Amino acid sequence: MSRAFSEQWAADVQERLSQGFTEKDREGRLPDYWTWIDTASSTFSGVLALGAVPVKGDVLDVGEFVAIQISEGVVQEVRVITPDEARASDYLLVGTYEGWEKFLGGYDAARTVMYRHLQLDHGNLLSFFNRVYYWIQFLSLLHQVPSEVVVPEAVAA
Amino acid sequence: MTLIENQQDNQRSGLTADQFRAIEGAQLGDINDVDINDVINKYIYNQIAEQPSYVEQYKRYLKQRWDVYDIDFTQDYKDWHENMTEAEKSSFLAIASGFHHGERQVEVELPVFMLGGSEDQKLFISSQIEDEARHTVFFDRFYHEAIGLEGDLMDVLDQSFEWVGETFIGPFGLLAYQADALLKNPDDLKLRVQYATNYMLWIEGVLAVSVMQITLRYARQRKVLPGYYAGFTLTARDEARHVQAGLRFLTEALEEDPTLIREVHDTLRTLLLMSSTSSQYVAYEPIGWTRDDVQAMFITQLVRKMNLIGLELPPDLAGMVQNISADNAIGG
Repeated sequence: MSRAFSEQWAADVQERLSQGFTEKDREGRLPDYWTWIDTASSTFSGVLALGAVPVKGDVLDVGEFVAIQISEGVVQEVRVITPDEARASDYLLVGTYEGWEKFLGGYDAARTVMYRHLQLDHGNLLSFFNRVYYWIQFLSLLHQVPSEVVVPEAVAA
Repeated sequence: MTLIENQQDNQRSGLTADQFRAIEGAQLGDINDVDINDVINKYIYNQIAEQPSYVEQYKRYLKQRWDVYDIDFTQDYKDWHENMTEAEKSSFLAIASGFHHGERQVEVELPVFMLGGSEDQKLFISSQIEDEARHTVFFDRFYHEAIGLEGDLMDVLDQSFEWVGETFIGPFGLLAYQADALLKNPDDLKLRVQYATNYMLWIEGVLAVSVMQITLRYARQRKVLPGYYAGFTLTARDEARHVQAGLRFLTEALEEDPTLIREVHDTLRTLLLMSSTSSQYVAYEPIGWTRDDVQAMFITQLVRKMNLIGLELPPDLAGMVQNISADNAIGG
């Protein structure tokens, strides 16, 4: 188990995300839904950044971030980045450490978005939702990465 | 349907003065006499031509407000547990649960839209927020007292989410994030038009008024769930005010700046793309509908609303409309 937003966690996340969606992931949903997702993912190349901050609405400088580099739906790299790099991503989803703890503990991705445990800090809103089911299923893969959420002392201070 | 055909349709579907008064003034005790088809397909349009002001809509709200705690679900409990088949209940829950969460979403995401409105619009939106909260409580009571779920508001929402389709997050997740964007720039007219296209035109004007008919016609024809029929028909009448005011906002915004048509089209493009699939198949037949009926309702309601704000669908959107999934009735 690795600490969320650490270098090791980024490596663990990369290992899982680069495998894509397995048959088990696809179980229980209509094939058409996955066709929609496959089409949406295959047309995306760019960076999805994820961020954690102590309190909702905090300035990004107090947070921790990872960047997920994606090429035509295939994850190429996941790495820890700075707040400035996070601001330069295509989409940046930010949540509090508390929100990440709930989500990584298994809370479903759809309600995590709906109840704003994760918020789109920047990125084109409509284009994000043009692929929304891909992002929801993509985020759900993080449930398969054993994680613990700890607020670093430097951040907490 | 062209604009002219739609106008002719509206004329054909007009209510008589007596029918209009019966719906307009119905109280909880006599709402079960009202046919939901008249509310959704006639009453809403009957009033749109009059372009009621926000203040007039607020006055109507005060007269039409109903007490959600006056509804009696005793017979609904009996129907649910003794008279309805498992197939009926399964189909009913798949559709009603999206509404349960949808009402909660439109309640909590609306206040931010009020910030950038005119004083008259703020007045009306304050009533709409109260309407949506009441509708949320209506579903909470139904799930508690007719179906038998337990716990507080959030507990019941968590339990009913099990029946909500995964595509619910499409329009309703978008609404949450649109509200976030508006919170940063409440007066941004482009953001307001995008928001209203999703909330008032699509969620309320297309999804809600279509999906309401599915469970309400079933309850009326099957002669079950009288408490649900009463409360949800009154909800439909409330939605008529919301849709009318929302279309008024969009009409006025487009008159003020015709280039905002791009915001309507771009938002619809995203909504139609999201609505072209579903993760689950909905069995409509046990409650008396077909998939073709449901898809046709979505298309008809969208074209009607577009015509009412003076817009036609550009060719690419007209093509996307044909791909709206009938399974969107389970939440988006």
